[in-house]
Amino acid sequence: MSDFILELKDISYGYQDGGKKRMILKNCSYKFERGKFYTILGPSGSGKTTLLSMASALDVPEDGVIEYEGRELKKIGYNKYRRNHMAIIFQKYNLVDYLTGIENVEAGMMIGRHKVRGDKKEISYKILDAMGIVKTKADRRVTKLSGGEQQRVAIAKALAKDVDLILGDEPTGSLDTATSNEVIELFRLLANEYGKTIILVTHSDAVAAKSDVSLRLRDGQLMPF
Amino acid sequence: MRIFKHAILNLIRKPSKAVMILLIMVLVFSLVFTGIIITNSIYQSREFIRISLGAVVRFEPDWMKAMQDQIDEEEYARMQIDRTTALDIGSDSRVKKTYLIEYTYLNAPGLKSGIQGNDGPILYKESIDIGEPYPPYEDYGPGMNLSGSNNPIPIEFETGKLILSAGRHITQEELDRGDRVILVSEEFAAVNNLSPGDTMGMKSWEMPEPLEYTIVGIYQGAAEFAADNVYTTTAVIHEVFSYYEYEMEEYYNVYFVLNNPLEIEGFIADSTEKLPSKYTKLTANEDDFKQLTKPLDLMEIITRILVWVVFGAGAMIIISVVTIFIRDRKFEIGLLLSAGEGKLRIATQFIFEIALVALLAFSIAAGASQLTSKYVSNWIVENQLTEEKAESDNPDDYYWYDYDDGSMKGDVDINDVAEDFDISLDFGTLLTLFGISMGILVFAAGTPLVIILRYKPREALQES
Repeated sequence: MSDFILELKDISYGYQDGGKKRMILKNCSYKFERGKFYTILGPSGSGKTTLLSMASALDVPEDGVIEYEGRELKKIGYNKYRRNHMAIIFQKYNLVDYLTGIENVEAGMMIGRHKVRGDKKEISYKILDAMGIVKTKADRRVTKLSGGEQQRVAIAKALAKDVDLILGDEPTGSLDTATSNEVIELFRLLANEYGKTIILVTHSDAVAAKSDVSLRLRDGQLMPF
Repeated sequence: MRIFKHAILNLIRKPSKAVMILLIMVLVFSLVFTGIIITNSIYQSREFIRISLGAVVRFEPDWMKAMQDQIDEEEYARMQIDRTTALDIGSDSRVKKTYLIEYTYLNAPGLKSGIQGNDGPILYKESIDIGEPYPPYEDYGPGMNLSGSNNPIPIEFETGKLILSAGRHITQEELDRGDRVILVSEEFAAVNNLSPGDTMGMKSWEMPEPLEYTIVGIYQGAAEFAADNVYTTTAVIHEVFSYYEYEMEEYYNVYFVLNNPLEIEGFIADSTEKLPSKYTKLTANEDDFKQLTKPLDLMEIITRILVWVVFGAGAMIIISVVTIFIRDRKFEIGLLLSAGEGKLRIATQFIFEIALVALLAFSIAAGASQLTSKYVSNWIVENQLTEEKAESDNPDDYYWYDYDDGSMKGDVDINDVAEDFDISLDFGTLLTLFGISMGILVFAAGTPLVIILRYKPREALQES
């Protein structure tokens, strides 16, 4: 098994901008270690979300290779990788709107097809409770929850998958400061105590300050902050 | 189980689009089902007509065609069927029984006619007035039409046209021996005070003395002018022929009674090549059948066209609506893909949702079309079917032997068809309708499958 959970090798990706191709990522390489909490900063349009899309196999790089535990994502299978090895938290909650909070969390567990010890529902309630979502709120359709509550449900959904790699795109963006701090502390705990690798894209210097490693995306390259 | 659970939850919690698809499906299914039911009923009515007209196929010279083609005497001579050919055709497995019938005419001296109003002296007065040397009526008695069959029970009794009311039928042994045994009508027996077991004399002009015939049975059901018809065997007929100065040629009226009326067309098609002349034919009341089914033909064509048009247009509409339905949930699909859910499983969820809606639509449409079909059926019966009338009997010609008096075929008129034109949803039809529904469903469900398989997760999340 590789020492690095995720490795980017010369990743390139560009967008068509009028008649020209604009390269967002240019031979971007980096190795992410296990059990660390990473943050990636950069100005808007620098390619942070694009990088996260590559890392989560939501999109495929034009050039270069991404490896998870030393194996190419392509060989693992993009779908299998997303299902069994990583969880992603989007900026805009991204929950299934006709499901309740608890059903969204359970869905993540069902899709992952993890062998969960114990009742999925009970575990889901506990995770939600840890995120500050009580049972009565967990049983409501997510459209009946506030933005902050929805984001907590989304985080709970990612945590419930029990994977070693968690990616987040501004996951605390819509949370109040107190909740945001709680969530960041939770991420630190997951990284430091449970050996999970957390990679968050953020604008917040405060969040970046609490991470183990802070990176900056500039000119298509990922470098230490 | 996630996919089925979420499919049901989506239908229950966000029903608006599902209801729209349901309504469109109900409309399309109802129209198609109504058309199918009507078409099915038309088919059943044709079968009913065929069955009602009976399973009797008759050998017939095609006089019209012969006259049109102005055939020669030799060809005319071939327009008769001999016993061997008739029995050969009758050996077909579809034939239950072959009837070879011959006719002759005798008088019954000293007896009265069974036909009401048959005033014998007036007839013979006319013949005396023109100078013919015929003896007075009393010496000859009424003219009796003898029908002789190669089967002990005549075809009229097999088809139910006539019923034995007293005595018994002729036996096979009596037929084989050529015994002079006969069946007479109730009317004739009553007016002459005759019973089974009595004998009566009949003679032809050529016979020196009347021959004695034993009445073994009395029948009922004779038409108005057929009360003097006598049923016997071909051996009895041949005995009468033996008194003629000239040799009687074989001239059989041949009837084939099939096991199943629905096999008539096939039997006729296969047996026509065995006929002695191209100016002969096998017929099974084709004119009556065509006349009775004529109003159904046009209806069937129109209904079939409508069904296909509605099916095609309906399928296109359903596919379009389902496509919109899927595109509206592109974001949800992106979410599921980002969580690692397989595309086929996602497609299965959507197909399952559509299948549930289709099943509900089928149930509603089947019930609705059953109701609307009844109204359509009544309209068809009142405005279309009963405008056509058909006659299957011609009683005025009962005087003449060797003529199809219509007693070989069943009584059916258009009102019988109208009565039987009852559109109902039997299991077979229901199965057909279910198959059609599933066919539309396959079209509709194939759409999400194609769309979803092409989605990329990031695009699906971004473009919503």
